[in-house]
Amino acid sequence: MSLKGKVVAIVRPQDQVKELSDAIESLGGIPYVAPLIEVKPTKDQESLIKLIKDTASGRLDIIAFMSQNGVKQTFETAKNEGLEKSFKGHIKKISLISIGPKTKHELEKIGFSNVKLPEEYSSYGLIKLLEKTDLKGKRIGLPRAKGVDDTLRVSFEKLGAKVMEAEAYEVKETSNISLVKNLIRDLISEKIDVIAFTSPSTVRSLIENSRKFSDLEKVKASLRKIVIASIGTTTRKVLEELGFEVQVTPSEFTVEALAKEIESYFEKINHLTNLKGLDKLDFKILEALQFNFPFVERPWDYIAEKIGIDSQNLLSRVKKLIELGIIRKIGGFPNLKKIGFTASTLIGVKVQQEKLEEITNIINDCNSVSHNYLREHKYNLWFTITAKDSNEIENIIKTVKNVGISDEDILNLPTIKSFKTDVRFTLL
Amino acid sequence: MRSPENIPNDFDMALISFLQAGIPIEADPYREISEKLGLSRQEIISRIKKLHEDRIIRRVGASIVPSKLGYEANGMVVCEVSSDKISQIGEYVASLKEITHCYERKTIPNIWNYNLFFMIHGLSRSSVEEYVSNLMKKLGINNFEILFSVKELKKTSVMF
Repeated sequence: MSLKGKVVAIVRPQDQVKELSDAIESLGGIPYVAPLIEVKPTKDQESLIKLIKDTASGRLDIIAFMSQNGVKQTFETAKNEGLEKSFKGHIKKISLISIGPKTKHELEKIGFSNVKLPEEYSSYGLIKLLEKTDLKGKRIGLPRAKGVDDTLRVSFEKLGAKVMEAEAYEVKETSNISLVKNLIRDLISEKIDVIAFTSPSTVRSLIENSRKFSDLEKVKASLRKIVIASIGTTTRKVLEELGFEVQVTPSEFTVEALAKEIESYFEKINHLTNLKGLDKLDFKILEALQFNFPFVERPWDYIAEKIGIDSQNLLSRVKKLIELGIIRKIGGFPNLKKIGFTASTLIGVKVQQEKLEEITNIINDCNSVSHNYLREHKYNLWFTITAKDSNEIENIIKTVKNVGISDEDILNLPTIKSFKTDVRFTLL
Repeated sequence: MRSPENIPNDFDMALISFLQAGIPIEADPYREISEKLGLSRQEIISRIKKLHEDRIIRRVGASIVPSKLGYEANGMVVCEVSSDKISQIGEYVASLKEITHCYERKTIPNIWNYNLFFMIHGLSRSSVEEYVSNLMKKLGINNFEILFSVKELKKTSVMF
């Protein structure tokens, strides 16, 4: 219940609030509902009606649904046009794909059970899913929101498909302005702990409304002081492009995962506070420093502004984090392979207790040894060597053997492929 | 102003060393290196940018010590993956945010059959064990071990 007492602003359309709001409440948080957008059928339904007719007459092979709204509106329009029966009849014969579990569930409610899901619930996930099938000459229907970008259409066309996009509904700024004004007021007076953005349109709406009804710079400054959560990477990117640091993004793009991730963010903060007396700000600094270090003349000023503090405060906090040993250093990590260090290996050694110190000293003296760990295993000493050639590695192995380690007690395990190296340590 | 391409390679190496040592925690961190190399701050920045774009510098930022944040359990997981699946499984494991390093390594037949290695940090031993056993089940890997670290004896950058 780490969310206890935390006010979480939920800004998605009123009819989609409930699940997130329930999830926040069940974790002890206080949902603050202020829809920034609303969903309406498009005035011009022509493209959607065409998609329905094409489906009903067997001219489509696949329909990919991108949202619950897309499903609802498509079936609603089919009904209004008197095409429900033939549309439903034909849809059973083609492939249905849904971007995520909620959309899939919406289809199941109407009676369609054979709906495919991508591994990642995003446009990117959909592309990955369809890459696995032969799309040559396949006709894909794509009922979606008005005005979205054409990444999906272009990607599907590249895979050989013929794509029919249909504008099923549009996302507009909410017409309930008083709730939005309250939200902006409460953000500025720091009554909100977390704001959960669930789509790029929620972000844009807040920016527009702040400009209209308040002081945008003031709202931006307040947002930097609180926890910003985004449901997925697309929304996150929009926020980052606007200069915000996003503290929470779940690995699965669902509202339940989002609520859990917000909770775990506060859990970690509590944990760090108990451990080292760190606070929310230190935590933000740690997150901000790990990636995207700005390539500018005065990077600390830049980061300080992004987090919403002054530079002096940032510098003294960073120094403190280094003193505490939490930050080892802030610098650049070269790809050693690209600057001539092409030989890389991991060595495991079976060392008896009495020889441990001697061997450790020898190994640690080698410049090309970067990591050396004592581990729980019959091979108990593990170190990495990164060198310009394998001779250097052989020499180190020879030195170790000279201390009295036999051949069979040394494992030399050269790197074949590096999938991931020293990437940022995720605190969340 | 010289274009970054024309600056000789020695500058690159000097900059890489500078970055490896750590960016000074000062309002004007590039002052000293700029004087030392006789390059303007702007030239320094564009050169670093280029090194980063060319992936010669793979990351610029903070290196954090997990154990100091209470992530006391550090495990090196070693597992045996069939060669036709190793690329796919390696990429997948690398994509997990809990995993910091992931490598395919040569095996020594009958002595050391594990070919996939990855590193995980957790708040406790049991949380690491649980995470790894779930992951192994999911990936269909039966043969694996977690080598928990007892002591960090050395951790530096390779210097030159």
